Amino acid sequence: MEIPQFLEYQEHEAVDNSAQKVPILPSDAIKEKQAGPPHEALFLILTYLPLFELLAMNQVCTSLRDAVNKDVLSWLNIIVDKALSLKLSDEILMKITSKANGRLRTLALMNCAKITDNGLQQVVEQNPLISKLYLPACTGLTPEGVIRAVKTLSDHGHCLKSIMINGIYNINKQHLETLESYLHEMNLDAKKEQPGSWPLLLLEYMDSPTFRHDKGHTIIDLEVCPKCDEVRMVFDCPRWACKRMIERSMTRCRGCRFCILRCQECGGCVDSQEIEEAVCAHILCSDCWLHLPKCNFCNKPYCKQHVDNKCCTSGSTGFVCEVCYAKYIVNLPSIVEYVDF
Amino acid sequence: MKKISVRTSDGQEFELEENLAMESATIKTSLDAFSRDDIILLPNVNSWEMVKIIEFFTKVQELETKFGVKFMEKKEGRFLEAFQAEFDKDLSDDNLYCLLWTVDYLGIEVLLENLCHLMAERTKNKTVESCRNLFGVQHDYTPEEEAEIREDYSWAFEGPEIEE
Repeated sequence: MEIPQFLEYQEHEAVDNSAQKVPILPSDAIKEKQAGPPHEALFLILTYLPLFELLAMNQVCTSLRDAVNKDVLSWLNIIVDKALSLKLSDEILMKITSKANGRLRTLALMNCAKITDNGLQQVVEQNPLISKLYLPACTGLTPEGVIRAVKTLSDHGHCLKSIMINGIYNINKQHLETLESYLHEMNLDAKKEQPGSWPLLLLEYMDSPTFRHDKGHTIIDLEVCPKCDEVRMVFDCPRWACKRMIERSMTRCRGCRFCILRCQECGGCVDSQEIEEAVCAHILCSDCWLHLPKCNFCNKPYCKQHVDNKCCTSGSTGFVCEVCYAKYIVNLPSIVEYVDF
Repeated sequence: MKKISVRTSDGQEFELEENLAMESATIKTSLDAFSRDDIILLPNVNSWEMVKIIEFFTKVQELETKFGVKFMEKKEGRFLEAFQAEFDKDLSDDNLYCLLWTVDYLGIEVLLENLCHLMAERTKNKTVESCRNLFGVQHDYTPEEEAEIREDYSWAFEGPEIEE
């Protein structure tokens, strides 16, 4: 156990500690420790790791490998994200989910385009207790396949609380109604939320797509858009009283992304007449456009998602966007770089 | 409100309100076993860790008063997530790991859950080797075992990298 060594080090530091407001860094203490078996707190983290990181943990040391493989708890919430989404086939999915021994609770397959209806069906048949089924942009699935899987879960485990299906092709209103009826039936005991009662905000969604579902605030991510009547994700406005609401005397500003354009920076609605564009071609509202720093050449800002693409030139303040950088700076051979602004 | 005194490993003393102190299963056990007037010794807890823990309790109390929700009881995730982001800023990986040890030792469930989430986020960007350094574990694989593991999971680690 490494703790005694750790404490020894701390006692020497005791005098200095009281003077410091910044937390002291025990990293030196850790490096002094001899590497040994992992602390038990580490095993707690395993249950929070998405699949890719969980598999990587296998390689760290034998104790972790054993913990990962033998502990069912690590396999009850399978989250397949960017790193693995296109590598996951039906066969591998079956192999991974079988480690849950039939007790799989969350299955989150984000953009797993190779998964088919049959693959999904096999998993839900073996794991009837699934409560969260996230399949956004799993384009290998069909609405009928999803309905079949949800019906299986409804018939057997009856535990399904929430699904995500945005991005699956060809979902129509009948499909949506069927899925909603299964889900409402399985969620009778939970407080029944009306669609839109927990707002879907663009920024929150981009930040953490599964948040609303994880917290039980919604059972399905799709709705019928009140404006175009299509089955889509319907976003709310983050502003209490946005211009649209005031001008049109509406109580809410809700619509899909095709019907209501939204600022990529704040998620607020943007009138088609006042659209400002970012370097990355994302839409911005005029308020956000005003306060964001802009390219020295084209006067366009970046949205926060792409702000790392900016280029800096020596000798000038501000930045040059990648487009202008390529156009004016890289491609001009011996001419001196554009002077200070 | 009764105050409980604790002493950390480096000799510093802190006062906690009783209801908050009881959130720690370890402190609760000690209180049940001994008199409440005694100072509780926490040899596995450092003073800076205690400061962080008190900061957490204070923030939770603030939020509870403001929103009228009992976070510790109901585990209201949304507000704790916001707090989690603040907590994350000034903690290095090593600090976070040590804090995780301590909170596990003290048995403060809600904080532990949040710290686990944070730590899990941090491991996402780490290589296997840096994980070993961070967690202080020894690389105890034989070359054969290592090859076997890579073989088993070759589907995950080989092939084209996905661009962000």
